Amino acid sequence: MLDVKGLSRPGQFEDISLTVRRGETLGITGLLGSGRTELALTLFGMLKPASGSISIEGKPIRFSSNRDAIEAGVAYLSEDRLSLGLIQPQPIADNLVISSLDKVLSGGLLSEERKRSLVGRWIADLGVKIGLQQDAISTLSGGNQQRVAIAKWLATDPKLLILDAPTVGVDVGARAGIFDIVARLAESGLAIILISDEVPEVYFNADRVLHMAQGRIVGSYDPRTSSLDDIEGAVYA
Amino acid sequence: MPSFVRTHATEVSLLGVIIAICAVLSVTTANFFSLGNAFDLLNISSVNIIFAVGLLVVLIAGGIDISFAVAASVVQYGTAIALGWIGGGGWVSGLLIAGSIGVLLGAVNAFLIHRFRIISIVATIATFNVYFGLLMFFTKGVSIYNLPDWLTSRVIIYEREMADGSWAEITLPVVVMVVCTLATWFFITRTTTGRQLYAFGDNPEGARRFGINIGAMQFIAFGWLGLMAGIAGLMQAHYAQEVVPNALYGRELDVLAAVVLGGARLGGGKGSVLGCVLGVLLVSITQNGLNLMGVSPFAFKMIVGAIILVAITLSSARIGNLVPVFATRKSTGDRPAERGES
Repeated sequence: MLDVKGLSRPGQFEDISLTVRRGETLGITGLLGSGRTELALTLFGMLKPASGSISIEGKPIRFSSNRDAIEAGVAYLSEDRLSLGLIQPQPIADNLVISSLDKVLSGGLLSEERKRSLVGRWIADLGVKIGLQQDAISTLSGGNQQRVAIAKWLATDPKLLILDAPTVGVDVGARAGIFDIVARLAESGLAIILISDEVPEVYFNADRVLHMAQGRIVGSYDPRTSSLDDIEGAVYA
Repeated sequence: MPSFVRTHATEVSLLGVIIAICAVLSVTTANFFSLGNAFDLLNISSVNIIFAVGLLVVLIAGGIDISFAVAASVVQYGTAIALGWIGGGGWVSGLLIAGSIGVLLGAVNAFLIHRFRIISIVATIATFNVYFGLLMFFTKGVSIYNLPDWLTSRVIIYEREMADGSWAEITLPVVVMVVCTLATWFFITRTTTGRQLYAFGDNPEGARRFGINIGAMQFIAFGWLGLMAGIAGLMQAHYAQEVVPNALYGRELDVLAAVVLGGARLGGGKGSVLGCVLGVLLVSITQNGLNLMGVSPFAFKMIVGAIILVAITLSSARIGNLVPVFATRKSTGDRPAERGES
């Protein structure tokens, strides 16, 4: 699905090569400043690589902006939900459809009815607990906000979903719910990149784990054959 | 509809204030409560409402514009000159020329703001001075009185003779105002671009990550205001039957105050066409009432300023509209508790 070869942005990451297949969850872990968010932003078309190539479904791709990336089926859940991932004072429904407005058009114009039914479907599908669709998203708990943020990207029909620190600010009980959704999405055939600085999160929820440090991939682990201690030892060393 | 009241609290309370003021004026003055006066109010307010709905779009997009009223004066001169070149023209060519010059002047603002990352208030104070300076320099302060006949002759859309023999009239600017208002309402509520403007105004970096073209947003917002300012400029020239270089100087602050009064937030992401129209009407009705009550025109601005202050501070939540620092989204205390999801 995604094939990255020798991707570099001097000072941020160097010579990154990785592949993600359909239905696979690739975990990327590493300390803050290891270049993981910059890598994600590059895959999402918001930063331009200095060298290297990105291919999606075998086709080499050059994004001139993240609009191209979204068009090509890449979705990126921002690491900072409060300030970047959602528009806090605006309604739940408007937040959910902002990246897929073309799906709620009727005769070229926004249709409240289509919006309501699309939002209703996603709310039910991801088990988001809300009052009214018109309530501000800031009235929801962290876990429910994150579900809406994920739904926003799923509504764009992505092939690759990049989740950058999806459980920051989500309480422990609700984290399991988020990862249930991730597992279900992978099962349905989505390729997923899961970025987290908490090693157990990627260890228990990814099929493969890459360790990034100082802009390079320094280790690759298979959770079935490596122990959590091994990876934590390497990452937190 | 209780849900309408809940989601349109600003509009409903404005309407309440307007009704209260109208009731008082109807009792205290002889002429306020008449069809003729109501139509006059509409005729007089039309230009400001056209400006206001344009400015609303820029405020929703998180910007501000100080230059639009002076830009409208530039449009008036430019249009008058261009109409001279083409030998008179008519309403269609007049509106096209005025609208185009307006969009161009708005695009200059958007260019400065987007390309050089100048904050909008600074960029538009600069263009305000440049536009006004150029205007005074090239016109030497001279007005234009010999406008084409079609532009200066009143166009009465609807008239009715009153019992006292006077005529109550609705004139062309009112119709143009209604068209501009409906177009803006349609644009910001029913199109994807309108929806994206709200998102962009509230959270520009978030909007960029959602795949919104933020450069386009600036040009669309300021272009729309430019278009409205161009049309309003032509309507003002039509209404005044002359073009005076400093006729609209200072109008930007009246309009800005009225739009903020109508619930638009300086800081972006919030505002409605209905609130904006009611905001302008509230100011106009107050001025009209003071006039009928025989209050000195020198006191108008003072009283209108006081009314705006009172109206805005009456609801403490409204402080967030004026000063984004106090807006709920910026404060740290109101983040929802990370409740457990049972």
